[in-house]
Amino acid sequence: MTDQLEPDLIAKQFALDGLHELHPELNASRTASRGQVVVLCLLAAAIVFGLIFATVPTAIVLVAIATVAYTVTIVDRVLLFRSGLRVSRALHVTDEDALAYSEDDLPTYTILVPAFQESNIIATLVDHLGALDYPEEKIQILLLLEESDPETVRLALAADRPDYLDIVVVPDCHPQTKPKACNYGLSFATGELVTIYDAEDRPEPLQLRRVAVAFTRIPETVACIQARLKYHNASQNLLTRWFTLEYDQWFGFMLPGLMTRRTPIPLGGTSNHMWTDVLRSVGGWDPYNVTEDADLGIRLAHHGYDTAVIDSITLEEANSDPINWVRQRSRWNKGYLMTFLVHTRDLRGLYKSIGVTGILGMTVILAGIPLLGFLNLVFWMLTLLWIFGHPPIYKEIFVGPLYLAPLALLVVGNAAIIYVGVASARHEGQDHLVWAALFAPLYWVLMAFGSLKAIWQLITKPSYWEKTAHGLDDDEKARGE
Amino acid sequence: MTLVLEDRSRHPSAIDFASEGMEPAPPISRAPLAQRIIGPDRHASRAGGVTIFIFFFLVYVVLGLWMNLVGNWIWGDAASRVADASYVVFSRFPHLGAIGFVWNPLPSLLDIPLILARGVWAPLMTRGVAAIFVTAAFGAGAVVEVRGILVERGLPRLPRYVLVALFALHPMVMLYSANGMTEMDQVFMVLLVIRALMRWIWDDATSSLMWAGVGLSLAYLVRYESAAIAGSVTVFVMCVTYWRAKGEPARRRRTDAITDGLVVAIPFAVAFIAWAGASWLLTGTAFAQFTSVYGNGNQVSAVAGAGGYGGINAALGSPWILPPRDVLAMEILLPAIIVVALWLGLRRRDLTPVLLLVTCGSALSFFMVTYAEKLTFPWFRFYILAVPLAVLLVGSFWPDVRSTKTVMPTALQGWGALLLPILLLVPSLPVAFFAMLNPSIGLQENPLISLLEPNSHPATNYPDLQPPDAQFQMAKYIESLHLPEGSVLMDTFTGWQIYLASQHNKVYVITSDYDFIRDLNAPAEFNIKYILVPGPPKSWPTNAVTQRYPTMWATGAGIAAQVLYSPVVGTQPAWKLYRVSPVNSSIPRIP
Repeated sequence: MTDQLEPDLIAKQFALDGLHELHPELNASRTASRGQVVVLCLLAAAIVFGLIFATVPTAIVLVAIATVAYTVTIVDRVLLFRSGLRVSRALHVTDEDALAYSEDDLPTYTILVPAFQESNIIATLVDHLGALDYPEEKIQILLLLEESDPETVRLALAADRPDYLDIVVVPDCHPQTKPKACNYGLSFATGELVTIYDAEDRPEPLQLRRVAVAFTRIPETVACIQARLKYHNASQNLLTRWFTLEYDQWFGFMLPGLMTRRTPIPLGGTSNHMWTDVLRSVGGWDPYNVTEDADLGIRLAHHGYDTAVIDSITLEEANSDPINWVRQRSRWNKGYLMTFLVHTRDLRGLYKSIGVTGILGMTVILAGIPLLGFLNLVFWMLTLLWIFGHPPIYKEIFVGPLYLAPLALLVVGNAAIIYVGVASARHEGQDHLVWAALFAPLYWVLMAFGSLKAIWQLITKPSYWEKTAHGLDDDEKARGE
Repeated sequence: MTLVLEDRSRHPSAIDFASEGMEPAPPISRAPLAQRIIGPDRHASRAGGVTIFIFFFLVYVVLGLWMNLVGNWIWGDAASRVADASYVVFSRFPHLGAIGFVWNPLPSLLDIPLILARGVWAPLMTRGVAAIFVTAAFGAGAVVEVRGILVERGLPRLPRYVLVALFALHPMVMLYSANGMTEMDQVFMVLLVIRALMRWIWDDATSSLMWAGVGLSLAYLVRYESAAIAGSVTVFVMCVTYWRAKGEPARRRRTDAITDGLVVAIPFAVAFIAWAGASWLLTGTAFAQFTSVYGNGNQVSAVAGAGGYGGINAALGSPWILPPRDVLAMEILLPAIIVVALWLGLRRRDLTPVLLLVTCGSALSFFMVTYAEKLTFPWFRFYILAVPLAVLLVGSFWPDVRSTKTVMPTALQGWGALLLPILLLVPSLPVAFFAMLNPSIGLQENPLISLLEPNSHPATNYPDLQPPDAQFQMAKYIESLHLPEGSVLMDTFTGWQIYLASQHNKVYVITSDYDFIRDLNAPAEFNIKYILVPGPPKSWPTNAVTQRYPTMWATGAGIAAQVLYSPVVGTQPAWKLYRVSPVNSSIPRIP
């Protein structure tokens, strides 16, 4: 086993252009297609002109659309929660079943670990992934390091590492993103199943076994199984509590609920387990998309594959610093919007594969989450303006049903979302998150800033990857890493 | 047959997560819905529930229409809630805030769609019949809920039929499902809460707790004494959770209890704050039911000042005697039922009797306390929750099919299963009926006797049964004047019946109109042509016109001349219609 695999031009070609060759339009190398740019510009122009020359009617139309959008989102969230409470729709494999499989029957597994500027990476990996209960000869861990990060490469090569851990150095070329690295690594993957873990992830030991067993029990169309992500530093501060609550709701009932609705699921950043050949056949990841996981989820659905959620946990570190958090959230929102723009270029194909409900569900999640976050800011500004100024034009816009409905949304809608958060904390047995749930509106303020930054960056630097700093949790600090 | 309560843990991992600083979530029981609704009776179908609903809805509607249209028994509170709905839709400034803040809004809100059909059938609005349909629906719904609770508990079929019938046919339940008042609306909401909490007792599921919370908030939007129920239910839930978390560390037990308390209380808190907030924003007072001029406190003293409550005498009206007496009159054997139910519950470790006493009992206690504080009236109907309390307590004699402790007393086996509920609950039917007819107990219900025996109890003896002809004629006269919009000023707190009787409601300037105060102060300047003034003495403290112009009734206050007079009819005051003198008239105006 050589220390470092030679840069392979074929791998590089696949990494950068694999998807592009398969689907020339359906990747984020262009953020918006020509047609989309035209439509968006016309829309923006219409809104601006309308607000200038016919202020009140335009405002009424915009407020009405926003009201409908909010109502749909809130009702959808409550319904998902309700169905999530009744029956757990996530796949469940017991410990006994997971361990019962003989080693010969288990498939080969490749784990891709993209890393950038991580010190002591080998030790961390051995610590976190070493606990995985899987036969060593069937595992292949590919540590993906960047050529432009020589310090990490040097340290990694120098350290002692186990036989199944290989280092792959990804050549330095634009775009410098995690999906490009993963695509590069995919060319060297030998496992039948492939998954991604981040450097700081701690999957529960039986996860690989559970996934392998689960794949034998489900239909062939399910090509991907997403494990549940949880935060180990939930109690660190209010932000981590909010973040944990959000993840609990997302993986606890929103994703499983979307699963049953046949809506394409945006995958989580890690712990998504797939058949390697299926992944290659759909073109790997989109190197230009900053949320390649969401994009892959939609693309799999586009090709007729399903995603399931499994009741197995990977522990991650929740961002505990607000600035860092806003950076991360802006990347996620930007990626969601990019994914939405990319996949709506082929509406007919999308309709054929996921139908109207799928498209609607996709819109609510991918476009709704970032845009409504931004609209929140707009409406909060409007409300503050009213409280402090009472501009008379409000009386012409917010009239009749357009007064009652937004008012109802403000009171009942917000209360409903907060209530779902509290109930979800109770349901998960996480009492310490209840107070965070009650103060969720402050979290929404942070999310709104994330959306604002996302929309700005979407226009100015779409493929810029906001690197999330890790090691901010207390025990990492204590260990002096 | 027992129910699977223990569910697999959500985090089944071989590794001890505690060493990672993270506790695994405790096993949470999430038994699927279908498994919870099981019982020995497999004939309890959804279709049965629908049939029962339709049947009793029709019974109550027919009864209600007969009492209202034939018997001329228009209940004041019911019809004036319909009037509240009409202010929202038909006034010169249709806005939701016109619904009024003295009463909680839900019943009037539900009247709105029905009064929109007044063009098809006028009495829906003019005689307040809309409220009858709403109440009948809630009454029939309450019957279905009682049945549902007993089905989920797993009662055998025949005792269940008996209990449901003895609830649906209780004289007070029948009367109040048919008369448009809000008692049965609330009984329905309270039954929702009870059903959800009974599920929660067995499955500890978040969804059951949430439904209880939603039920409490709806109950508050119907009547405000639900606040007492919400408070005691929250305490109950917290105590039960604390007690059930016995094996856990003290801190965890406390947070579990607080969390559950929050889940059950938040919807109510939202309703409470939103309603108080809306009231404060629109009227300036947050709790108009108690503090405003129109509120209960003032009404009670106004009535007391004008000579008290008719047939009730001081001794029987004492706060120590009247409430317990009224409760017993509702369900004569309630004390015995409570004792037996508690004893059986104790032996089975079944919390159901306690739950029932907490929910229904807190509302009953609320009325006892507020009556003692002279904040409310001695009405018999306030104690109506004693009926579902008694019926469900008898239902709790049978062990819950979801429980493992199935102590079954011999008295309930064989024929006892039918005889015992009949013996305990049937006597209350005639007792309640005669209590209703007794003028000192059924202060508002006793006109019923006149409908049943018109010859020996002619309707003329009963103010409540006088047809509102005078108000209809006053409305008709005003219509014949063909006045423009906003010409006739009146305070609808007293004048709602005239408003209901009108076809062209926009002629009136009413209390909920934005320009009411302005027009009241200077009627001639703002094109008010007529003012309606109610007669003395009862309504004067609570009527804006007589408060503003104390001499209006007698002399026109120097600004108006009398045009029409209609005498006292039944419970409605006399009315005078005054024509406002023009501004530059020679009659001196009082500044």
